Parts: sequence; C-alpha cells; structure tokens
Amino acid sequence: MSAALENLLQNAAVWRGDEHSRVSAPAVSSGFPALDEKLGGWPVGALVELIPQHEGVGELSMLLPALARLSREERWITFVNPPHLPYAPALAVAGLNLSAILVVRAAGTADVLWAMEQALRSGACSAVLGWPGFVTEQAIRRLQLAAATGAALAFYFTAPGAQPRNSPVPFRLRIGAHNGATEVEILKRRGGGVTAPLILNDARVLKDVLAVPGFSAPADRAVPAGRHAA
Amino acid sequence: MLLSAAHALAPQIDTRVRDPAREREALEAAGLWALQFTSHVSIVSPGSLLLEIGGSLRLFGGTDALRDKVRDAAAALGHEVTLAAAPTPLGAQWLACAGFDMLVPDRKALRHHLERLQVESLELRPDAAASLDRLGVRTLGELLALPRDGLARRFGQTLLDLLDRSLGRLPDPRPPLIPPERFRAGLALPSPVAEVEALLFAAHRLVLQLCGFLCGRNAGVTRLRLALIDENHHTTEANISLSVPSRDPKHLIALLRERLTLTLLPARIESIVLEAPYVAQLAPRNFSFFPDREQSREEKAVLVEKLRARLGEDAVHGLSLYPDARPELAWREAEPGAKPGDAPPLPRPAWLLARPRALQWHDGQPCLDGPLALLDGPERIESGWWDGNDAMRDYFVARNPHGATFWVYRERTPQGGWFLHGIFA
Repeated sequence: MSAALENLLQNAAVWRGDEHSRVSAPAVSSGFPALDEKLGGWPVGALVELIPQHEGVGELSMLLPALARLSREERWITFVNPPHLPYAPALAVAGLNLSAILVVRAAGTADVLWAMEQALRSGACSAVLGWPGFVTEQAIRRLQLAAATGAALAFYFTAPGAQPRNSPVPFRLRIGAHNGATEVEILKRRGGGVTAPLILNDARVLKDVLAVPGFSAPADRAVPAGRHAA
Repeated sequence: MLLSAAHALAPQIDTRVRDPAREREALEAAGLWALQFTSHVSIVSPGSLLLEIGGSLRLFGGTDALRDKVRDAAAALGHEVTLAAAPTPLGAQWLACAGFDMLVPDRKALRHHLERLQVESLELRPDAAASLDRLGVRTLGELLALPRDGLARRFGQTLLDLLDRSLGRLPDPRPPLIPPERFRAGLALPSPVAEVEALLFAAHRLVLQLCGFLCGRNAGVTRLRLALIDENHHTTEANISLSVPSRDPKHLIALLRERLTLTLLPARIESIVLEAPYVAQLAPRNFSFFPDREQSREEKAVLVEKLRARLGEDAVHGLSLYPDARPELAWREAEPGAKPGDAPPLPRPAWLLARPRALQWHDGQPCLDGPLALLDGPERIESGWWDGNDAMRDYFVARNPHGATFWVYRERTPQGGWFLHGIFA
C-alpha cells in the first residue's frame, strides 16, 4: 500500500465500508449462537420490529433466554398490551424471575404507545415488549428515542402475517416456522443486510420442557389432584 | 387614598376587598413551606416570616446561596419577597418591612443600618409615635441618641427593651412554628377555569408548599388528594397513591397531570385544595456499597405509579404462581415485584388464552388453520371437583400445517369437544 494511501486511511474522517458490520454496540446475548453471530445479540437501546408469520411459531420464546438473564437485574421486564395472558408457569420454567415482570393493559394504540414510551424512557426497564397494533413512522421515532434514553431492549410485534413496511426502525425480523423449529429472517439490521433464514433449534419453551426427564410419559399419565386423582 | 379618588384617577381600576383571614392562611402556608430551609420558622403578622438560619448556612452553602435559594423558591410559589438577614430577628424584620433587601453581617453594621430607619418602622402605639414626632425624632438613630433614663421615664421600659432586642443587647426568643401532622392547603383561583394546564399551574404552587413542608419533616407522602371545587360548589376529587413515599414536586405534578387529564370536570373550577392525609418518614438514604440499587428500586416504583395514574390501578400488575392443577388457575395477577412462588417443570405455552376457544374437528382431529397434528400428550388434568369448576381434560401439544404450535385439550365429558387453551408463541 502506498504511503499516501496509508496516510489517507489514518484520517478519522475516512470511513471504511468493510468495518461497518463490525460496529460494536451494547447488546444482550440472545442465547442462540446463530442469531448472535448475525445480529451481535439483541441490541440495547435500539428498537426491534418482530413480524411473526403466524401466532405460535416461537416468536416470544425466542426472546426468553435473554429475558431470563435480564430478569435477574433490578429492573422491570414490561409487557405492554400482550395479545394473550403471558403464562406465568411457562415463563418461570424458561428461567424468568417472575417478580421482575410487569404486565400493562392499555386500551387503545395511543395508550399502548404512551405506556411503551414511558417504560422505555424511565430507565427502570431492562426490556419492553409491546403489541401496539399499528405504528406510525413518528411513533417509531419516538420509541427509538425513548429506547436509547432508557438503555432497554425494545421489541414491538406487528400483527401476525403482516407485510414488512419500509420504516425507520433499525432492526426488523420475520419469524416463521420450519420443520417445527423457529426460523428467523433478519430483514433489516445495522451494519448489514438481509441474511439467509436462521433456524433456532431449541427456541420454544416446549423444547426445554420436553428435555425434562419423565415428561414424555405414557399417555395414561394423570396429574394427581387430591383424592380424586384419576 | 379613598376608593372614589382612586377611581377618579384610574377609572379602569379593579378593586378587591382585603381579606385578613386569607392573608393569614397564606402566611401560615408559606411558613410551613419555609421549614425546608430551617427547622425554626416563626410567623410575624401581618406579612413577615422569621427564619433562624444560623444552623442552615453550612448546609446551603452560605448566606448568599441560601438567600438566592429562598428567593427563587418563593418566586416559584408566587410570592414576591423582601429578604433581610441580620444578627437579631427584630433587626431583620424591621429592615425587611422597610423594604431593605440586604444581608447584615454583624451587630455593628446592624446598628448602622437601623439608625437610618424611620421611627414608623417600630410600629409604636399612636400616642408614643405622636410624642416622638413632637420631640422632632424622625429616625431610629435620633431615638437611640436620646438619654436612656429620659426615654424610660417618658415611654416606659417597653420601648427600651424593644430597642435593646433589636440591637442584640437583650435575648429575643421566638416561638417556633410547629408543623401539623397532616398537610392541607387551599387556593382560590383568580377566575374560574376548566383547562387542565391552568389547574396544574395552580396545583403546582400547592405542591411546592407541600414539598417544603415535607422537606422540613424529612417526610414524604404516599397519598395525595386534590379537591376541585367548581362554580356549583360541587367537589371533584383526584386521588393519587404512591408505593414509595415521595416529596419530589416534579413526580407529584406528573402524577397529578395524568390523573387530571382523565378527570371529567362537571363545571369550571373556582378553588382547589391539596391534602396529604398521611405523611410517611423517608428512610434516610444510606451510603450503600451498591448505590444504584436503592435508586433503581425507586425508579421502578415511579414507573408503576405513572402508568397507573393514567391507565388505572388494575391496568398494571405482576405475575405469580399458584399451586392449582387447572392451568387457568395456576397463576395469579400480583402486585408488581411480589414473590412469585415455584413452578413445576411442565410443558406450558408462553401464551394462555383468557378463555379457551372451541375448535372445529373432523374425524376426531381438531383443526386450526388446517388439521392439527398431536405431538405430545395427553396430559390428563382432573381437578376442581371441590369448588364446582371441575376440569376433566386431556391436554395435547399440537401443530398445524404452518408450523404453529398450540396447547389444546379435549373435554372428557359426554358432549366432548376440542378447545384451544394456549399458544407456544
């Protein structure tokens, strides 16, 4: 390399494209090596849009290993307007400390976005998961700013099967199923483009539990319930 | 000046009748507020407060800093003040009442400044004032120059004592203001309002008073009631409860704002009353080895309160486990942060449906977006015969052609049927 070029590269104003994907931002390991490799872990303080192709493909379970780790912190993990009841026994089995969980019910999109923004901005949450319905570009910018302020993991879920839209959200992932495993496509990320779909083999709470000895018991197994056990 | 003369000079003038009772109330409220600067406040009617600041100077960083702080805080409260600091209470009071905004460092300087005061500042009895006037005594300096025995003969010992107290030759103890157990302060609005922002502006003053009062008692509030009295003398209440005692005006105002935006006002509001029925001691903050922990606990509580203030008390909850074999009863909503209990390691879906949903079935096979393949089960749950909510179900883990995984059960009753109860999301 010529000395002139060497000199030029020393200049701080010069930006080198090949270093772009190695930008290191604070992140929390997702618990899935394949996902961590492509994404660098779940980004702290950056908004992530999750598009489940259907309900029940592991869209929530894929977050649980990271949430389990964060639930040991002295901060909330906040669910804003979840579409169903976050089921405490399942979350506990996945390793979450339930006393860190905050569930917030809000009636309209405006209140959901408000609650998400408050939670993200407060600094009192290690992660915020929201189901806002429809999100405008302006709302995305507000949430992104709040997430950066409060240094939280920030996820919002679109309606199942929604078409990906162009929006200023820094991360967009589509979650589907492939041969019974959870499949993740990274549609948008910082410092990189679209990736080939990743398979998360043991994403679902179910798989962890199936590994518990004695679970795959014979079909006539009954849960005893007092004297009336079948 | 006569009212008629004033009207003649300025016809557009707006006149109000002076209300001594309300003035007294405002002065007392300001006295409570001033407790944040010193534990020793005394009220001097009609319009003065005496603050013993000798013990507060170090905490607030000197006389100048303290004066600026008091002035700023009083302005935020909506009061315009003249501040005089002097070595004796009477000296400070006279100087301030005469409009001298000054800090007097010692007794020598105090005598110098007092000498320039008019004798009216002493507020003597009319006959005494008249006879001083006849003597040609106009200023305190001239009065102090008169021989003491002559003064004592003419005006009695009281005048001499008064002068001695002002110069610090005699002690001048003042009864301190004893703060009440609970806080209550009201404010009549200059004109009726219906806008939340205008109400908050007024409430802000009361909140500042409250916070000064709390500061003086090293206490915080856990409950706050704002009563809004409208034109029809109907009272609307906005209540706030906090999980951790607070005396942060910003936080309290933010909570009031959320609550007021939700409150429906039947008419325009004429006056407001802020009440804190319970005052709780704030635990002194220790110099902890992990200083962030205490703070983050407080931040967590603040978030919960903020969300509840707008969305309602029931809209925010935590999760806990409950030992019941019926899946819908194996968990409970709990106060955020409550101890959760233990979960048995069973395969459970991350989502539970609030109400099981009936599924279609063909040839004994349940369907949900296509036929469901049963991957695992049955897990038989029979429970609840004792409370009438019997559950006799066989649970299965099932998957549809799209790869979505569900938790379904078959009723073990004569009519049977398949139901969706959870989603392995």
